[in-house]
Amino acid sequence: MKTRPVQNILVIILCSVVIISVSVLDFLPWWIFLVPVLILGYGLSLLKLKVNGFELGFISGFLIWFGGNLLFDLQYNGFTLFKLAKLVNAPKVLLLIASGMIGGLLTGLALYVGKNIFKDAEPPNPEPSDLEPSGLESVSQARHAMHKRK
Amino acid sequence: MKDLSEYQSEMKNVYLRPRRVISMRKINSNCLFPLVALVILVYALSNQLVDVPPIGKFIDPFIGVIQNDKESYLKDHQLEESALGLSDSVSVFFDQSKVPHIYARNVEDLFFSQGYVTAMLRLWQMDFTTYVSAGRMSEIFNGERYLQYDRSQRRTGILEAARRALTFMEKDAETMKVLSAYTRGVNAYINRLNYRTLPFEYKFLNYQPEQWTNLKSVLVMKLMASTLSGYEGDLDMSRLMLILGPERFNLLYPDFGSTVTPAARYPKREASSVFNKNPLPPYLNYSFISSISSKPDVIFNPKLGSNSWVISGSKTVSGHPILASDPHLNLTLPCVWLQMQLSAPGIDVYGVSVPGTPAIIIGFNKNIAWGITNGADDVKDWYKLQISDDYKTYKLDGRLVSLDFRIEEIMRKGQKSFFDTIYSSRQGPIVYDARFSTRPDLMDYAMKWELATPSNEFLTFIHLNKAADYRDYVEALKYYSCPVQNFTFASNDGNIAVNHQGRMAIKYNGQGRFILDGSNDSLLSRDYIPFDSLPHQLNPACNYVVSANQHPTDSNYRYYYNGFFSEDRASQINAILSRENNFDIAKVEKMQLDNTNSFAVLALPTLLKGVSESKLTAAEKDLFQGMKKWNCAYDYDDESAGLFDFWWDRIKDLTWDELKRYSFPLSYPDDYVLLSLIRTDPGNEYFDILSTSEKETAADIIHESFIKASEEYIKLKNEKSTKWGNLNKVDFLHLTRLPALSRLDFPSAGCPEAINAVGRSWGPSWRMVVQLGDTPVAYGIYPGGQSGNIGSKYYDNFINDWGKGRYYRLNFYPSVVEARAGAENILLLK
Repeated sequence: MKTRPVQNILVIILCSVVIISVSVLDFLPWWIFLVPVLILGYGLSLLKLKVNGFELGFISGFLIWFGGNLLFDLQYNGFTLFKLAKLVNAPKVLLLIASGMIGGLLTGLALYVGKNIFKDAEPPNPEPSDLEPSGLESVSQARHAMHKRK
Repeated sequence: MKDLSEYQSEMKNVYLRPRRVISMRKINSNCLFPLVALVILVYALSNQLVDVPPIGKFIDPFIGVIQNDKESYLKDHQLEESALGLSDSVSVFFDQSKVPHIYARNVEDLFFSQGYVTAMLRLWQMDFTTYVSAGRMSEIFNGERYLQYDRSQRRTGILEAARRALTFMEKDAETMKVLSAYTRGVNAYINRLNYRTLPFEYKFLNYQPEQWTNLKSVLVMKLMASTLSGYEGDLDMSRLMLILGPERFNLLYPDFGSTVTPAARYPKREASSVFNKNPLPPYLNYSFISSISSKPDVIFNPKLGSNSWVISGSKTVSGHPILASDPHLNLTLPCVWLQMQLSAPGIDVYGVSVPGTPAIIIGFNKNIAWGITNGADDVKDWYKLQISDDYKTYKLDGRLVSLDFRIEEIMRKGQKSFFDTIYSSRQGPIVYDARFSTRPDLMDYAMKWELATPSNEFLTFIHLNKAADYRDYVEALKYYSCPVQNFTFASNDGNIAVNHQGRMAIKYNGQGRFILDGSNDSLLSRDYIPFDSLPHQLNPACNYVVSANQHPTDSNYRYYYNGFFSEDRASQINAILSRENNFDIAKVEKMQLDNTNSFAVLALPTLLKGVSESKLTAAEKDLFQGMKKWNCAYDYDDESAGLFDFWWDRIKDLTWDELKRYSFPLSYPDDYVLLSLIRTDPGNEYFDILSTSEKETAADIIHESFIKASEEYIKLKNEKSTKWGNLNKVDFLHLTRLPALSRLDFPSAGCPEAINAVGRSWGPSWRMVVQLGDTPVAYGIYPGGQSGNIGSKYYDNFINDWGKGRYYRLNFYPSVVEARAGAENILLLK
């Protein structure tokens, strides 16, 4: 089994890639990135990874939204956020954090829901009323069970 | 032990491969709340909450407002847009100021591209302007005051005027070709937009751009017309006439003051002048006029004017004419103007356009140059109607005539529409009635505004753009009706001209200055001054022409007209042009930046004499010495300009205290009238201050005012620097007036009375100097930037240089080759 931090980082990276690759398709609705995140969450549940969906989803979403806004702000002129900050009377940093929070919250929820929406299937107790016999490890166990029933 | 069959069946049970239990997986109930929360969040972030736009989209880093910082079409070296609907390819070359030089292979493609490129640079501005013009603010903003504004606009009839003008224009094939191509170009751009590429204001105000139409172009034009011709003072002049009586009224508010430097001079007529004292209109008495007074609900600025002058080749160094034009308009962001060069077979012109309308409005081509100033004529009149009780008819020459009406639907954001019924008579719409009574003193008055008469101004500009000589220019002007403007002209073949052009009604003495009796049909003028008789001047002996919102003629002109004319700038321009020679571009630029208040030059000696220096305190004497040495220039570092303003304002307040007693808001008599009174009749009753028992004279008022002004000025000096630039702050307001998107408190030289006419939020919106010749050489600048995108570095990048009085060389490229060489980035349209 791999150690958990590596798993976490991989999930974050995967989640981020999923978000970015969908979000660049700017003709789709803005929230559509949540759908692949949900699916990713479900995929994580199939892989039975024991990671905290909400935490990792939040971190990915926060990084993308906060980081994306920050990156573009630095790469281009930075005027729009500067003027928006003046407009709403809040410092630019707060706007960036707010965007990060929103992105994080949405992604976190989506990843969590995707991962946990279906309860894990536990092995059902062997009951006589069960029409299907339970899975048995060996013949000896079978004999044992048979004798038990008698 | 059982029998064999029992044993076999039991073994079957044991050895049967167990089936995996998959289908009965349950939904985790712990997930329901987060799932619902997610859905609710997404919904909330996708919709407007109270005044906040959908936040999800808004701050999404991929499509939100941060993307407005990116401006690929002004950065990418070469960009191509295809399948736009052009008949041939068009190249657009942006120079280092991001002025687009559009080269098309036919005229339709040219105007299509003008529409496309203008939308690319200024979509929100042009779109929003049409909402302002048509009275559609309620579709964007919530609030009662927006509904009031919209009702006022609809009732004033701007939208209706635009509809009628468009119907009129549809008869001209050339106009429709150009207009429709422009509209298609704008829509080609709009149809390519998605949320990411929407201008910031649409995201912030949460609405979409609608399809552009020909009507919207007309609306933009009509708003400009309204801004320039909306000012009137009929009610107040009527009240003053009644209260003062004709003698005193004409003394204080004459049609022609003592100092007039007209644009065109006329020989003295044998018949007596039409500009005699205005008589008291026979119908005007206290029962005719309302005793309530109200303030206008839309403020028009009579100072929105301009300067333009032309110097013929015999006074210039190069031997070629030089034309200067600086229109004075509201200083907005984005700027009212957009520079560009338009080139196609048959047309190659550079200048400024108005986003939303095709063609170049002020500019030049290789043969001619032209400029525009506001005519300042009064083209708006109020007619008091006698309306029947059932509000169905009104009296006209003793007969009962039915009132027309139309219903305007005002759509409102998030509410159902408001329907307003607007009645109108032969004279025009009844703006204020029982159901819209913001101005009770104009209740049931019909408003006649020349703006409402259909006309096709677009054709004037399309033809001016192509004009090659004086004859083409005159032909182009024939289409021009409203608002009355002065056109200045220079051509390479040596002609210079000024034309006061527009629809001027033939009026009797005083007509238009006062409210009119709507029941008398003869008071509605139906005739207009013939085109050839309009004030104009061609190649005068003095070798220059001047237009600066002054009287277009002297009092020898054979038709009566009235308006809101300013004489100070024309006087100064004329003084400089008459005494000097050897003009070149630099000298003309210096003229445009001249901060001298020529009225102050005239008044100062008189005022200085009025002060008894011996009675002043030491501090006051100091200031007085400064005043004596003052050159009357409102320069940036000047220390006396502010004091003069205080002083002269005080003098006006003390002199006109009698007028301030009246309950209605009025404008003081003209500065020149007061100066004339001080010089010729210093003992006049007006110089007596009402609140004191002594009888003051002009000198007393001047002295008293100086003391008060000094007191104020000294107090101000203790708070901050009294350098004029520090006192004279200019605001460049975003169209929404939001401070964060505007540029406020920009220190500037100049004053409304100087050639460099700068006010709080208005001033030279474009400064252009053109020298004709084998190739025109031109310099210009406007306070703003080519891009209307608040995230762009080209949003307001010219303002600092404009403030410093710098000019940029205007790149009028002779051909595609030079345009390509000078281009910082290229846009290919197909």
